[in-house]
Amino acid sequence: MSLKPIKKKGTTRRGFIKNIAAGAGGIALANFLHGALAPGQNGPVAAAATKSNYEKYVLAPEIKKYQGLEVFELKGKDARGYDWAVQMAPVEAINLMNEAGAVNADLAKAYIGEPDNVKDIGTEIEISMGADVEVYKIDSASVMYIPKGVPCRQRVLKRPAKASFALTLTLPPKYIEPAKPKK
Amino acid sequence: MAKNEYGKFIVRDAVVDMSAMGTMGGSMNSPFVAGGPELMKAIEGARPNFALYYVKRAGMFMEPPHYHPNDEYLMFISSDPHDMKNLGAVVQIAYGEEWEKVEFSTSALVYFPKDLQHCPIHVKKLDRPFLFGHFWPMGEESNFMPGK
Repeated sequence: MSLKPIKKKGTTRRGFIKNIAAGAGGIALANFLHGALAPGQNGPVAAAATKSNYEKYVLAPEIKKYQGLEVFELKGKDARGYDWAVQMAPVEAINLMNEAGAVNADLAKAYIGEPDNVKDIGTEIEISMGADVEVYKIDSASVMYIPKGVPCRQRVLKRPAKASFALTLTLPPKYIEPAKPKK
Repeated sequence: MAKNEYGKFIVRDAVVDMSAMGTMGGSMNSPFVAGGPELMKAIEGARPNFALYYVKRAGMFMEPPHYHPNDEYLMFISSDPHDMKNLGAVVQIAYGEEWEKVEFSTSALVYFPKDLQHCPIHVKKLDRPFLFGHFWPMGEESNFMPGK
């Protein structure tokens, strides 16, 4: 199998995201980092008709319940051994989850409406951030970044009129390419 | 005067129309939610490389077989807030140069270790739209490499 790189193509989902997110420049990849650390904690969920060597890569979440609402959660480690996590929660469950305070990792959040109108999340969410409790409100599909250690709380202000969702990603520390050894 | 230290970290109306990607995505997907360049400029810490949207129809994803020099995860998550386990769809993913197929119908995070070829991805059956997106934990560059 040839691993010879070719010209980047901007037509993939990841490539497109990279392009629209290119303001601060990309993080270089360290080829010596080997992704040998097993991600996920709950094992595979694939149901192949025949045994596959790759079923182990389809990872099952933990499903948490909040008064009839369910939340998808899965944690793993990156190639360096740092923790990451993915959580998908119905917006309606946010107040029930009662998650508040500072986290010892950078977080990213995204809010999305229904399939036919992703922009409309059908409610208003109050976001408070920082030690001085700065308060912001969102009422449409949004993305938010919360730096490590910054207290953050989100509160749904009215019952959502539709099934919207909140994605929370726990991000490993920024990757910094090590200096190349001098010859 | 109220402080506004963190306002730069919130992007409202963060919806990107797939038509900006030409034929990519076709009619299978909703527009997606992602941070833009201004958010990324404001960030000094970890880079969130992800997107979030819905797969709305059965069919074949447009991506050809390929691999990356870094780990990638794809989210396949139920859109039923009362049943986040049942995906409401049957998905088949081809792994490796032999296109070995793995099929599932429950919510999952699908892992593609670095240098492992993957795709095509086939949504064989769809009872209801599901949440979908990619997540690169380390936020690296895309580095799309064509497979066989």
